Amino acid sequence: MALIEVENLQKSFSRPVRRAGRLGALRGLLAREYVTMEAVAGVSFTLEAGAMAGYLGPNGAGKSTTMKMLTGILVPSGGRIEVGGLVPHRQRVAHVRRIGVVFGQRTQLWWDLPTIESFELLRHVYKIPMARYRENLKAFSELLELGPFLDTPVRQLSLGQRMRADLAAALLHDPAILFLDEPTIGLDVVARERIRGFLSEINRERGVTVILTTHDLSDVERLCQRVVLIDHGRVIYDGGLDQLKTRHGRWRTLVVDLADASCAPLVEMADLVRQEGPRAWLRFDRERTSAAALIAEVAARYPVRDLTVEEPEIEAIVRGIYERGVGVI
Amino acid sequence: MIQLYLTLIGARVRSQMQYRVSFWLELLGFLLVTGLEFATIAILLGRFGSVGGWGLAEVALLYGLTSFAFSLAEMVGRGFDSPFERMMVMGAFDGVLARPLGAFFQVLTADFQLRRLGRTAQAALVLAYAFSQIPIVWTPDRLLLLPVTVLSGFLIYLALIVIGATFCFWTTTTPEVINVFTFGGEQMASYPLSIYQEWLRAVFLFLIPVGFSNYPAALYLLGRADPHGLPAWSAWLAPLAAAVFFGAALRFWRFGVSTYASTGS
Repeated sequence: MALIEVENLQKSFSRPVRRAGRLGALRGLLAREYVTMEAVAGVSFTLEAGAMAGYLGPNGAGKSTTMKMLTGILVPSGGRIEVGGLVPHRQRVAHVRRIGVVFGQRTQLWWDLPTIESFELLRHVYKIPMARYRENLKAFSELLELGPFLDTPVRQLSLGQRMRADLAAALLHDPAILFLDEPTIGLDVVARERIRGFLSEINRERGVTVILTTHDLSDVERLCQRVVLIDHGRVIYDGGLDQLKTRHGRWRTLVVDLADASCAPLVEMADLVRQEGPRAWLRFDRERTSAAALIAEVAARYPVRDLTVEEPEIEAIVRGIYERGVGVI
Repeated sequence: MIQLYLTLIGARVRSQMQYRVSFWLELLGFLLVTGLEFATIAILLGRFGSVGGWGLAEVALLYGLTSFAFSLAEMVGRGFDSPFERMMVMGAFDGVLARPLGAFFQVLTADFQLRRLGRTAQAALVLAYAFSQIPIVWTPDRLLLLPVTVLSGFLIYLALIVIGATFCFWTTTTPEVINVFTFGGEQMASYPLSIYQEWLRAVFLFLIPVGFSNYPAALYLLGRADPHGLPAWSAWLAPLAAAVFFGAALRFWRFGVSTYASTGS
């Protein structure tokens, strides 16, 4: 049996309709009309223990709603969830004892207390044996370099420090599954990389199953073998990341800064899609052309000052899938 | 559970004590502000002599009992005020549900305002004044009634705070609702219940039982009969009224939590 089983999961919200006009707001107070919004409209997938999966989709696709149902915070409107044999919203306390949760934007720590005190309190909340707590705290302090700010109140931490503290806090009680909602949002490259390294480490060494939502495809590339892509509350892709990219994210872009703004870089293996002053965007097909070959070609013909390769963004891939229809799954 | 409560509360108090000066100033502030509240009553009574046949010392007894209970409820229950509202606005209530503890317990431990002892001190002073003026014969039952009444009143006010907070599940940001119940109830109970109309007396004894925080107990201590026929032994009904009311508040809270989980955001 899989660790996480989700079958035809649904969640609909009813929202009051906002009425137009001067009296609209007043009438809205007296007699509300509701519309039903299907945030999650029949999602199914399974996840094996030890996996590391990305749960992706554009804003409002239903990612967070699904995560909240998986963590037992929200009650589904329909369908079935089982996580490690428990139904999250029915056996909430037993369920959350075995999971760790990090919501990117907001901390789970005690705002006014030094970081170490939050950890101490969590030890009491989760009844973590002292020896195990010490061991974990030591391990996470080293991996996440928490040492310098253990005595700093949480409210004074930088976003990156806070995220590291939150990750440690979510793992102190040795959860079997870690749920992460946008764990790298707003972080700089260094902080992001440290967190990614940590996540793959705990997945590899401790066998923690990780499921994360993100906007950032590079998180997924670095971490996830498995990708579940949703849009409008439905699964539109479920499988390996590589297949997703080759099938739906074929087009990459080479951004070139030329030394001479007057010439347009024209090469056979790519299309010039945009040019602004000395900067030009060349789109190329990853299946036919390698970035190395294209760079060599451009550099041989034109005086190049700088180059970057842009990967297709998740939003673009989702758009691409939608433009070509859902049939390609 | 009690040990965990003390651990979590201990952490709160320690963090508040980091700002020692501000703590003492706030404590003093509560003492003075609520002191003014009683001064207003004293001035009114100074002008009119008595209200419903109750003189200043007797009203001080009423006020002291209810204020004492209210101060304890505020000290313990203010997690349901702005910390809870902040949770609802910022979405942090999700985090509460992601922890292996009851939501009630977690919101309760979200704050502990030791500085409200300022009001407790004020209430104690007012009570001391009342006892110095009224010749009460301190029999054991009367002595016992004192803590029983204060604890009942504490539970009743705590229940009111919880009920007010529960409305936030539907309105998200109206902690003011809480104040209508709590401060309104406390103000009302500062005067003898006998001066209100019958339906109001019924409401404050049997629906929102703040009346039990002081009135029957005060009658009992003074050895006085209620003009509307409330029996003397009704003073001992306070714990029952408090338990039933608190139980109802808890159920209402749980209902709120369950609608949150099924509507969410």
